[in-house]
Amino acid sequence: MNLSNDKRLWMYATMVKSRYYESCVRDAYMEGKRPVFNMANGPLPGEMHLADGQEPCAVGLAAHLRPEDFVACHHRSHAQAIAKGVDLNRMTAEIFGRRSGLAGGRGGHMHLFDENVWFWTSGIIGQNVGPAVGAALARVLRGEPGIGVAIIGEGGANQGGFHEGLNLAALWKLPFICVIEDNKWAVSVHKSKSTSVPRNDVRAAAYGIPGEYVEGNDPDAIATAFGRAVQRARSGGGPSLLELETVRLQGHFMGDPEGYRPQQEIDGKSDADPIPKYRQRLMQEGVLDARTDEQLIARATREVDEAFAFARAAPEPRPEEALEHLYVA
Amino acid sequence: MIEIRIPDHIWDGEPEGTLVTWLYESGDRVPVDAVIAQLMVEKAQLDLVTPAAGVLRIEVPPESVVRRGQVVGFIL
Amino acid sequence: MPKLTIAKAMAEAVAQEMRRDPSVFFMGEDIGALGGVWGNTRGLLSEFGESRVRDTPISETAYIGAAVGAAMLGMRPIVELMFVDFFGVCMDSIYNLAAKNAYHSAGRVRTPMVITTAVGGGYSDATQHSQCLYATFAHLPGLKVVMPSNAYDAKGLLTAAIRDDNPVVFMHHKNLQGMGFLGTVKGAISEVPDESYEVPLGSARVAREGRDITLVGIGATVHLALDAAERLRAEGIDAEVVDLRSLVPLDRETVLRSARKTGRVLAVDDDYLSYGVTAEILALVSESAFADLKCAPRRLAYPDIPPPYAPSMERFALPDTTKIVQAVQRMLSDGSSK
Repeated sequence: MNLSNDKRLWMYATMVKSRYYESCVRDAYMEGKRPVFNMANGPLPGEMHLADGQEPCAVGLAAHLRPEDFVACHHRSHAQAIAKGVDLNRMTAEIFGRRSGLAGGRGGHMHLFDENVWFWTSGIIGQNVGPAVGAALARVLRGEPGIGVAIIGEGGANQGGFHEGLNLAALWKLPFICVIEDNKWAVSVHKSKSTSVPRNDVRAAAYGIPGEYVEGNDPDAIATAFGRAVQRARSGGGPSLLELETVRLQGHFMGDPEGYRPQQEIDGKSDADPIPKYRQRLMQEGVLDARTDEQLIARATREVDEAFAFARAAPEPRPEEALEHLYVA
Repeated sequence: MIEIRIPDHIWDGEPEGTLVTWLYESGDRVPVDAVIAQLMVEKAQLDLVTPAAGVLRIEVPPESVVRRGQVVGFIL
Repeated sequence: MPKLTIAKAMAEAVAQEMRRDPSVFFMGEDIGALGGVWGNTRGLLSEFGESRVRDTPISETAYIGAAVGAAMLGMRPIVELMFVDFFGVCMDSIYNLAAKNAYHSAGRVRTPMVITTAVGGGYSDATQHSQCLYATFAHLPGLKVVMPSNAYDAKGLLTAAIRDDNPVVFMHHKNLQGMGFLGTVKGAISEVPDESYEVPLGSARVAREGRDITLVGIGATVHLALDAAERLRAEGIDAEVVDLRSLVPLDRETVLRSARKTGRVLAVDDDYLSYGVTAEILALVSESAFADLKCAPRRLAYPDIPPPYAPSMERFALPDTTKIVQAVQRMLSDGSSK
């Protein structure tokens, strides 16, 4: 299947937006955490997991997904959320722990949940596979359109829930896709030290489903491969497993702020950065020119700035609101 | 008076099973089609359904060994 | 009115709800063709078919996790965790995923699912197949947790649980189920109306009225308490028995009303003693009925040991009618119960 140039421009613009978003998150996160890095301080306390470098995995998927497709993501979810179309204002407010956030401040950055586009996250590795399988099951039982997608890291492919979920989805031939973002690092443990096989696509054979490894952290290649998996799922062909080579540009330790500005190279990692490479390809193909690039960047910057302004201006929750919404009425 | 008999074809194979529990007491009025006792053969559980509505009289205590065709009580 | 075992009452509740609401479906190990090892799904497969009554592989994380996802998208799944002791392999799906969806969505997204699970020992199933774990589940926010002591409550509570828009853990005690291979407690068999009805979640019931002491139990210990009350009556002691029926929400008012009336409380539970349901009841009456208590509230529970295999050891550990009677006698004579 061919990707339209409009779609490719959308992917590029969304990658730029995600990258700028993460740079703004990083700046906000580091407020109050200098000179002493105490995780509890600042407007964004707690943990933070940024998706710089993994944008192709997000846009390559979202290029084929609709609001009714259920996506269960992990803790490093901002790029996926943006690509899926999560409400940017409410997502940012949630990251800031504000009352108008997606969970009213109860969830924070690791627990983003927007049911308008069925984007759901969990911070427990490998446990998000089951719910995505169940979402696919619900669509089948109800005769509704929509598929289930679980996104995990390569570390999650060693967790029991991954294996159980694939078996169940394959057994019941559900419209389900498991996507592995292979950034090679599970915190500090390299894939070669955790996983019994070099590539997880071979594990698909254990469940009798198609598996594919996509090299290069390339949005076009990812979109093409995922498009095939989506087509298979939507037409009753059952589940697929995709592993996507990608890169985690940020280190794990959020101690040393490096602000990213569009069109600047990241120190020492410029070769691995997928955004300049994609920009260059699109320009070489005549799909993108400097003026359009400027406009896309300006628009992305504006949308993100607006979301951050919304979040910073948003009221804090009243403390006793912590007791609310334990159950639905 | 109607006999409550363990049906001849309620299970295959083994001639003997167990009447594990009566769901009612002697003197209880049981409705039509009620399951009045639980039987067990090996590990399978089977229902003994009353032949009619009426007052139950139990002849065989719970946890007794029973045979197919055996009369275990009456509906008065 | 027919009399049913708890197993049959559960199956009837599920069947009636499945007829009423096409979004209800059942998943679990051996719940299809076999009708469940606990007899609680008999007849469902032949009536509703494989799509709605699904035997699953042995993969609780997957199918209970799947129930969470399916529930978010409009289904009402019922899943069986065959033995509560197996919660270890799938607890994340229950307490981190199902239980927190309402909180993570500020109340916008429902997760209407029921987890049925068998609890209890006393038949030599030993350390990993005899536990109760009420407190383990009751302790974790976002779940509702109920357990019937009889077939009438079983059908009503399960119906209410299926209709509730939140995740409900429906525990059923193996000794009360009415399965031949486990023996039967007669009191668990009760008349059950043919028609659909609910027993509200979060409502306790006074199973026996009395003046001198309140015995608080749940599930199997309700029957032990009722037996103890009969024996105590012969000694001129009039015991009131409260059947909690629901751990979350907990009907604190009914417990407190009874505590204030009798002034003496003995909580009885077959789950581990420390940090348990009995501790919660004692804390409740101490905090809120202290002025009306005539003696310190006491508890009788399973000791803090894994359930042993040998029958004599298991009997030593389990609460029983005699232990309850002795504890009551001590409370009434000198205010202690050792």
